[in-house]
Amino acid sequence: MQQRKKWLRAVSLVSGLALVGAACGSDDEGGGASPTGTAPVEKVEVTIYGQGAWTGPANYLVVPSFQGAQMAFDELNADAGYPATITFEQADTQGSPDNAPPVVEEIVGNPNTVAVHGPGFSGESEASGDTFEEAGIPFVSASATNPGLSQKGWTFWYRGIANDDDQGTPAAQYLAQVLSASSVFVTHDKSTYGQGLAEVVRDTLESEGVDVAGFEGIETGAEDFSALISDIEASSPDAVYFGGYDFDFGKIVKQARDAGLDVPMMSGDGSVSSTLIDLAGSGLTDVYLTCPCNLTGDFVQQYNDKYGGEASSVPIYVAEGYDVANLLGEGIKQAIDGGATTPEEIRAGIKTYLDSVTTDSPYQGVAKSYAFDPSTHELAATERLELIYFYAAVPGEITLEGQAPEVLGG
Amino acid sequence: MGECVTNIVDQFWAQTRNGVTLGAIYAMIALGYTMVYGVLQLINFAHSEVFMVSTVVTLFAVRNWMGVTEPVTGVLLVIVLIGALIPAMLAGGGMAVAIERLAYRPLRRRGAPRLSFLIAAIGASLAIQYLFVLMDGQHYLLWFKLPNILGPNPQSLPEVMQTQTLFTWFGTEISNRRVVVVVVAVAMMVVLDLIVRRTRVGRGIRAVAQDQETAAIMGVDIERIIVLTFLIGGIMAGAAGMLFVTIAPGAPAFWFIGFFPGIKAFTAAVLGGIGNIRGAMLGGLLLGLVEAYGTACTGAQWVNVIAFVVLVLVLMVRPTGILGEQVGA
Amino acid sequence: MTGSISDRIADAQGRAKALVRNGTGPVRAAAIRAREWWNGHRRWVQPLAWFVMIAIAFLLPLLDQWFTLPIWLQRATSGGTLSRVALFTLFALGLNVVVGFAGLLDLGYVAFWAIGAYTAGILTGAADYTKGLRAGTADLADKPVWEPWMWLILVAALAFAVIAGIVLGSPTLRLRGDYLAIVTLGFGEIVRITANNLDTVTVGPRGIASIPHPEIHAGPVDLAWGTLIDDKYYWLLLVFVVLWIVAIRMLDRSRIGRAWVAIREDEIAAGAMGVPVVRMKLAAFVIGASTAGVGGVIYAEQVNFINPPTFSILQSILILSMVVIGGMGSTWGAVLGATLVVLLPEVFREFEDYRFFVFGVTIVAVMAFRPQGLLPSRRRALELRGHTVEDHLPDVEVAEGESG
Repeated sequence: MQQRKKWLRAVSLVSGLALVGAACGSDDEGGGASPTGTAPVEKVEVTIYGQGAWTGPANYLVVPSFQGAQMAFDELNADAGYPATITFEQADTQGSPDNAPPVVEEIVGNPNTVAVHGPGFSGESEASGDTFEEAGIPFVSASATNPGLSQKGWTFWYRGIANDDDQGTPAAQYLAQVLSASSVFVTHDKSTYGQGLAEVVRDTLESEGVDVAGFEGIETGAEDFSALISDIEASSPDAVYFGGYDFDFGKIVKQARDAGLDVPMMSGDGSVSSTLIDLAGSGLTDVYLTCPCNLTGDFVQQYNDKYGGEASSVPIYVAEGYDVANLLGEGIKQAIDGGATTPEEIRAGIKTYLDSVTTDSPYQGVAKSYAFDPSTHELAATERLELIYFYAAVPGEITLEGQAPEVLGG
Repeated sequence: MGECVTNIVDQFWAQTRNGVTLGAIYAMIALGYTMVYGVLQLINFAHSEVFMVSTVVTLFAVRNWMGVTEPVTGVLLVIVLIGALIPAMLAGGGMAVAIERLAYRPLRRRGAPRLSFLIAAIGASLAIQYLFVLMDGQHYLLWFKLPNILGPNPQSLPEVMQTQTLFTWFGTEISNRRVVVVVVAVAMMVVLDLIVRRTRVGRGIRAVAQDQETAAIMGVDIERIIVLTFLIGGIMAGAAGMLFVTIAPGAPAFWFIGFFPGIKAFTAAVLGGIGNIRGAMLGGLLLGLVEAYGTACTGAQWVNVIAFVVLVLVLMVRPTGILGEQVGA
Repeated sequence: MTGSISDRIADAQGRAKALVRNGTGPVRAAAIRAREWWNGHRRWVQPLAWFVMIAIAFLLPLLDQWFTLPIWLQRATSGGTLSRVALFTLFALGLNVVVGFAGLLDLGYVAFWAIGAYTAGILTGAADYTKGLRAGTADLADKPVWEPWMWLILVAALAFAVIAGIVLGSPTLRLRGDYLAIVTLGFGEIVRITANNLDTVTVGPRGIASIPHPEIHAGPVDLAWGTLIDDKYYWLLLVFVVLWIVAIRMLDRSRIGRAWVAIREDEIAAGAMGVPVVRMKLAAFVIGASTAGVGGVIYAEQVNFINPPTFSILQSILILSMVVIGGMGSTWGAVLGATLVVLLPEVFREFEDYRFFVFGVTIVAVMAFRPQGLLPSRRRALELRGHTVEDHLPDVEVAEGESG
């Protein structure tokens, strides 16, 4: 059964490719048939799906993380000593849960599937998770940050990124302690991510004794925010917090500065990008950002070199995507080294490996060090604040201020 | 409720200023919708893509061809703006005519039901959007490598004009950008109004809008008038797109940028009386003000709800919009 | 049988016009003969053919287990894909009543889908659970489970959709074509934004998770629907699709159906002849709304998570394009349109980035070559040609004038 389907896939893949017009011989890496080989290691063929918005208006948020993953898989495949050939397939939901059924069925239906890199968004994670859990396929997201996902009781789910709660708390502390704001206007983009983050910031501010001058959603994707800015000006806050993405925040910063609103402004990882720098232009003063990522590594540079014009404006998820891919890759290796041969065994092996990545034996990635909490499968850290980095933005660049403990402590 | 009223009173002049500027932008886009609708009774859904294409052309004109990197002033500013405006208008007009040729004309020839036009427009809209997504220098269309023009990510433009406060009115600062937007929008409307009312082409357009068959009998070349209508509508969208990304809010060029302003502009056109050029202006203004006051009242998250409720209320009292339909009425 | 005489007259007229328009190609002649044969065997052949068709439709997701299929066919016949096809078929059938039968342009159809889905999300207790989980007042043990009364949610959703349809419809259905379009578009947005903003009721942007999957335990029947990709969702939806097709065809041939035709052709004349215009329009609107409401419930129970961005205006446009591509006013057209619009992008996953570009071009091409849709309704096609006595003839003259 399995052999047959594999053969079928190869045939249809070839015919599909012929249809597109790309000439490609395919299958020379041994479809699993030759029992003896002279190669250093006999490679097992496995498939990992990248589930998320490959196309559609939200794709710029997750495609970079998949590009990072592709880099990792390319490196592994090129390594003669690596025991598997990983095919990285696109599973395009456009980020929407209603597109999930056909996509999830294809992932689960493919006998070669060993893991899912994703789902990219929280909504589609909610929709697809139960099925992956039932099928025993590990699924590791590098971009879905809704805290609720760890409460689903999924054992095959892991999150390679800090969630919204982790980030909101230090951001609010920064507003209260470092910027000494006594009243803050909190806005968000009415998305799962943006509102979730903004709510944590609001609650923490209140517990810090800071007056929340306003809490309101914006119309995401709008181009003219001057009505919102007048509304903010009317309550004359000491600072403004925005939960949402670069695309909106850049415009808000720019238009606020144009309108003469000069108070400090702050946002989260969704706004850490060159799009923010571009859009806010000369208005990018007194702007602070939190991010569960260290952008000073040279990996982001490697990525930009490799993808050139295709490189994304949100490089933070790139390193996460690369690391998560390598985590999966390491899981496959250990599974095969441990004697796993079938995809089912490899899936279990990946899970065993991911479970072993704890604070005692963390995995060092290019973005950060990874360790999973044994019960929630969230990132674990001895000090949760260490996951968060602070950045300051000025026209033309975003500079690192430091890790949360030192910035808030000092 | 009380908070709503005090907020509006507190922010009255600032929000009026915001609303007028926003309304002017909506009106500029709405002019193109209204032109085409008045003549063909056709919602040109692909109009927002004409708008999008003109933002991309503006990006190239400003960044690549003229090499602007920082804000300019005086005569140079005027030159840069005109240098961007002309290609944007040409691109807009060309795009609109191309859409007419490829998507609408075959349907007109076959006497298709009106909804088919709408769906063809949606199809054309999708195709154009994704064509620009594919234009990132990595994709092929059949055997041609598509040039690197836009791609999936938003691309922001260099800042062309420095924001300055021109004057203060009731304690509200009015910036140079806002003045330019409103002046240009009014100018565009006046020019369009004059074309429709005073020129030979305008007479043809009005004749076709009133009664195609009679116009044909009277010697009006209907096909030519339809193409001209699309051309003028496209040129208007081109100018609006150019202003939108350079002067108005300074938005980036992006393949999805046309969608929301397009919907808003269409709403504005209906509000004022679709097919009516002055109605588009009035509808845009009203919609802009409703959104601005609505933000003060309830916060930005309910603004679209308020806008649509106002639309329903207006249509219940005046079923064909505030000024009624009719080109040149 | 009352309809059959007029049907036959219509048939004859249609054939005559078809001959005039298209000449007498052998294919067309064969098609006409086939239709005559079909109409002549109402008693046995038709029900049998129906039965076979439905049976095939039910067996589709099992093909993969019995035969080795090429990957594109595997994709097309997977339960996940088919359930999406069936869901959108249901929506297309409902919208077809509004747009195709009654001629009302509705750009906010997604609102009723949302209303159905949120009814399920809230009534099953999933909304409270999701909120509680976040607030720390609930844990996994409180996760909602399926109770037999939950089947009544279908009825509740139907009722809510009907109420929403009346609330929206009664003030606005007096509006003419395009004004109605923009108002319905606005309604769709209002529903989505409200769902996004009313956090206390709908959980806002976070969305409602853990909506229970349905179960039936009645005597010998012991069915439990599984996660997302269970084939049984397709079968459940298919049952509704079949029911709806039967009901809609009956409606179309009833007094109401004829009233719709009259309204579509000439509203004023219909009103003058005593057709209760607004009430009939409202009926179409409400029938369409209730269809989407029911579909929404099953959607919510299948995907088990709903959030506001799903119900964007783009979905309304997608469903409308299914109706128009299939052929307005044609029930089979709606089925075909939904099937194509859902399947094509799925089948052509190989093309990845090119999919939506190709989709857009395909829509334009279909409209250019078959503006009446792929399977136009015969009655509707007649009307269109009837209109062309006024509209089409001058067109022909223009075309000739240009070529000459």
